[in-house]
Amino acid sequence: MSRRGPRPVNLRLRRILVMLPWLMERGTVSTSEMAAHFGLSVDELIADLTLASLCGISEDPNDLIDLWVDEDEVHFGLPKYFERPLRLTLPEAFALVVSAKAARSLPGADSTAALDNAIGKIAGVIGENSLAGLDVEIDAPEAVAGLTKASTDGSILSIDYWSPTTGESTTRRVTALEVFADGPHWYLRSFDHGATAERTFRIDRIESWVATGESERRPVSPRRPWFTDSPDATSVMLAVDPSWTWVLEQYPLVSTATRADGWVEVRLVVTSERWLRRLLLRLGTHARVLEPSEWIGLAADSAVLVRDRYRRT
Amino acid sequence: MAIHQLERVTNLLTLLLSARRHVTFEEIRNELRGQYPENLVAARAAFERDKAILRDEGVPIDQTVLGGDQAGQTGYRVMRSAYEIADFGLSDDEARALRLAVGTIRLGTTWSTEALWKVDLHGSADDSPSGIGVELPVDERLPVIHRAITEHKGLVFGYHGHARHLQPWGLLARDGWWYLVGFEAALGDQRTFRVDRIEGRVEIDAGVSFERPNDFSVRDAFPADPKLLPDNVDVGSDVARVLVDATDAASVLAHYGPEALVEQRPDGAMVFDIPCVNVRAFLQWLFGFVERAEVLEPTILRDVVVQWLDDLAQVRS
Repeated sequence: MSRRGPRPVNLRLRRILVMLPWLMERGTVSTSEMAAHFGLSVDELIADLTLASLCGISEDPNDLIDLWVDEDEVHFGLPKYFERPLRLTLPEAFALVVSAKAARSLPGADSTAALDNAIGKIAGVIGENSLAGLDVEIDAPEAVAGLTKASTDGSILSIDYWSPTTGESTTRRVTALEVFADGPHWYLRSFDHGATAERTFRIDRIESWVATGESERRPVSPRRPWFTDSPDATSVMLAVDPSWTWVLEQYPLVSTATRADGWVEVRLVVTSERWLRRLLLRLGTHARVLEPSEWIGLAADSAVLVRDRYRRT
Repeated sequence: MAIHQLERVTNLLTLLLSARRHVTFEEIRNELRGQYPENLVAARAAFERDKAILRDEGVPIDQTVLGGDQAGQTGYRVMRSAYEIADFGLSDDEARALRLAVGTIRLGTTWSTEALWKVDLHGSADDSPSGIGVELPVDERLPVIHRAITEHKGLVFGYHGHARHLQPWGLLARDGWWYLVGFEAALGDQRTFRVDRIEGRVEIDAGVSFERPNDFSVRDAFPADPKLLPDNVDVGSDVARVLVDATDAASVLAHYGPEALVEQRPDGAMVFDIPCVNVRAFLQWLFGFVERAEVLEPTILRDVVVQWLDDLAQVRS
């Protein structure tokens, strides 16, 4: 599998400095296990370990780092250097505190106090102040806890889902795969048995759900970027007043480029005409549709559609 | 070649960690014979690059000007006590909880995973699915901001084209964004900044120190609903009465609760009282319904909506 070009020296050094004490704890470990743990290919791991085995304060073999790779196992001999990992860097300490605090806010968060205790011990080492002044606010709908359990179990659910496009609800049979939060919303990633494809549902639009009592195991692959699996996606090009690009900040954009007149050309993927109407109404006169041609007049048409309602009352 | 530099940097670190006293560049060059270029200028440049890599990785290289026989020369050493991470003393349950947290909260960097490798030296990857994930992308400037907050030091950064000098009181992740809240002495007021909108680098101003008010809560520093943020457009009321069609009424009711419901009509439509302190944010919310919602009151706000629509209707690309 071709993955990437040469790895930077700093990244390889960073791995070596944490791999050596990890290896020392174990003595002997399979190359595949070690490579998986540190996110490397076996070839990359062996290259780094081979290099590490040549390092030391002199060329005398007794002064070199005592490790060797034999078949598909790595062996560690006498500890000489790097018995302990390097202290946490600023970003690592920050990330650990953020992860722990955020996880603490999740529905169904660890009830054994183990995470709280872990947070306390981290703060004890990196400084009690590290917890002060940092907050992660996670507001989850009530359904999140139950749907998370359903995802863990691979439960097949019957859900009533309200679509903002049609304004109507439909019943779907889905296998729950994963619950996740992205931006202000929570979503259920699932396999939709009607569409025979993976679909993502916004949880606050699930009007009700019930477990059918059936379950199945489906592999959960890494989540793909938004809309890449939507059969109805259309690529749209907008020109946007630069002082109004904030309206687009919450949406995944394909590309942006500043034009000679200062406006910003934005390409994004939309999944329905109605979704684009909403966006164009929000942008008002501060944007124009450039492509596709059939939607160039959509903003004005949408404005007329809404204004007519105000004229009737 | 990169592979040689990695070997040399690792050897340099080994040497500096093993040294019982500060060692000079000449001594290092002698110990690592053949690894630095023969040419002195090139060797010095390579040594500086190696030190930079180590420092960027967080290696605390202690540097001092020596006396005695080596008077005037700079000596280098890495103190083991400063280099090595302390033992966090995590129990198996605590380590497992931390692994789960790191696996669940997706920061978009490897920072937390790399931290876990160091903290949880005994642990192995847990492949059991948690069923839940949170996308919480972090900005590379956040660790410095966090440090200034924990050390009660000032921050300097650019925002909206102006240099800002802030006493940082708190950081908040909310709705996928990171917010920095602090006291801006020049304005004599508390201010909130979206971190992703900060322009360029963030610098710590070590000359500024402060005490954070005891009753400060970053979560309460500004409203979660952008429609409640202060605005300079006055429509005569902080609350809008909005008619929402039956198609969308249930979702609004679920979000704002029965306390916002004013009237339920026979056709299933509902009338709600919705905050409109910030008119711009209110319009963003309102137009999400396209033609399936309508402002009833206040009249000034209704006029603002109609004017917005009139202007847009006249635009023909």
